Amino acid sequence: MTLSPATPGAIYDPTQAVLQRRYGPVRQLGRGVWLVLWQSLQVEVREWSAIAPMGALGFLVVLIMSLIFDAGTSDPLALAAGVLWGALYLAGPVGLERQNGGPDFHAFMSYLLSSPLPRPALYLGMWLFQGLLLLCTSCVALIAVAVFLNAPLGQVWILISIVLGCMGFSAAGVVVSALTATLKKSQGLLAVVVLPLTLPLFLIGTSLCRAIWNGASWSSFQHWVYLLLLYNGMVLWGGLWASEQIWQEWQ
Amino acid sequence: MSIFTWPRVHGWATCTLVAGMALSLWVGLVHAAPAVNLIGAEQTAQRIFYVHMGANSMALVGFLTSFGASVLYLIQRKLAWDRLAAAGVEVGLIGGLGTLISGSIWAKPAWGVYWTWDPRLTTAAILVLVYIAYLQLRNGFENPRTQALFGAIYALFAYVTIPLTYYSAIWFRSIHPIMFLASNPDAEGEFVAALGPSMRLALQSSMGVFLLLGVTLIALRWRMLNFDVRVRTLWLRLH
Repeated sequence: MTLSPATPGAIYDPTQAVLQRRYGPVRQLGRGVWLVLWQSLQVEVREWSAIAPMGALGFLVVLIMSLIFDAGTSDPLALAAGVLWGALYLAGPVGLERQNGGPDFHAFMSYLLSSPLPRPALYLGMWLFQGLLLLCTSCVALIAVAVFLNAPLGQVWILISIVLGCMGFSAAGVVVSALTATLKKSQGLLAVVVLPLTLPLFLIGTSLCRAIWNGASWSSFQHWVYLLLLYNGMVLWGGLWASEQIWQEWQ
Repeated sequence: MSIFTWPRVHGWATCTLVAGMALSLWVGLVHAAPAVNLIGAEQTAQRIFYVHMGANSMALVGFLTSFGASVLYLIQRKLAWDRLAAAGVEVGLIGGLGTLISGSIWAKPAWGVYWTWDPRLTTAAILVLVYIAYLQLRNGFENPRTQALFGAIYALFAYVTIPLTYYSAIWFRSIHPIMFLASNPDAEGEFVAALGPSMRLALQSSMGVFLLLGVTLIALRWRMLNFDVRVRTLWLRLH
């Protein structure tokens, strides 16, 4: 293991080098991701600042939509799919705003950026954390959809599509929230910026859930799953690259 | 005095555009043969097609400029590229909104409604919303370097919606026709093969003029943004 910078021109950081020698690059990244995730979870469990409004909003969206469209639709499962993804889609920016909009976030980020953690670990840790928050919200929304709109629970592909949707939204959301967090007047702007970018997820997710609930076979809905994977892969890869640029600007 | 000074280029471009736009409108609205497979109001409304495709090509040139300029900014970190990217988005948005509005006007006689949630229409609306969000984001920053960097990063993400819009009509077949993919069995017209000579001329002239309009507007807006920076610098020096 060498202690010299990996790429020519890179700034030599002795702390990084010692950590790399002790853990190896992959283990060091995994450890960094876990530390960021664990720290964020501890703060969230203590304050419930993001998950409570997200869960409440997710539930309210399902409740209000069910009330509005109660008058009998021709395809109730299509309605259920739209309401479920609508709840996730609207609750997502609330979590991002609560988590990354406050002054505590700047202090938290300054602390993280001055620590010897690898930079990709910051993005990946925050991505997993936001994804987990969204998954918790989706559990509330899914139960509400099952109760109010009589949608069947417990289908594996529904759960997989929700996991993929939450992680895709989180991958784009973390980048956009980092972009808007430096703004003085960022109230509401995060939603305006992140929602159009993640609208493809909403369209794909709604079509996928509708197809699954209508009993379609794997061959007829597999392209939606591939599109979800493609979107997630592109946004995650782009997010890893973009976050590096954004953190540099933050410093 | 060189003939390539800005005021002269501006004057020539304006004259060419006014003459070209008048000619292309005449070709599209008068000279081009009516569509033989349509009748009545639908046949008349079909002529919006030439404006619709023209506005679309203007949007494309604007968003492509924004993408290219954003990549160049990230490589070279020169603020002039950022201003070009912003100019491209503004002009692209005019083209994008023109495409949506002309499409809606055409849709009423053709499909019976102004708007339907067809995949192509939906993705085109997303495209416009994404680039409106780009302008909103840019306006929020005070530091020009941060504005340029974060704008360039967002522009790269936003560009993903362009291939998505193009391929949406091919991947998810619905009511919107496919125009430029003759190898696809659902394609309703490859513009060289399926259109008659006068319709082809109308389409090509309209796309050409709108493309020139887009390039000219981008250049003018870019110059205006550069002047804006110079004026601000002078103002700061004075005060």
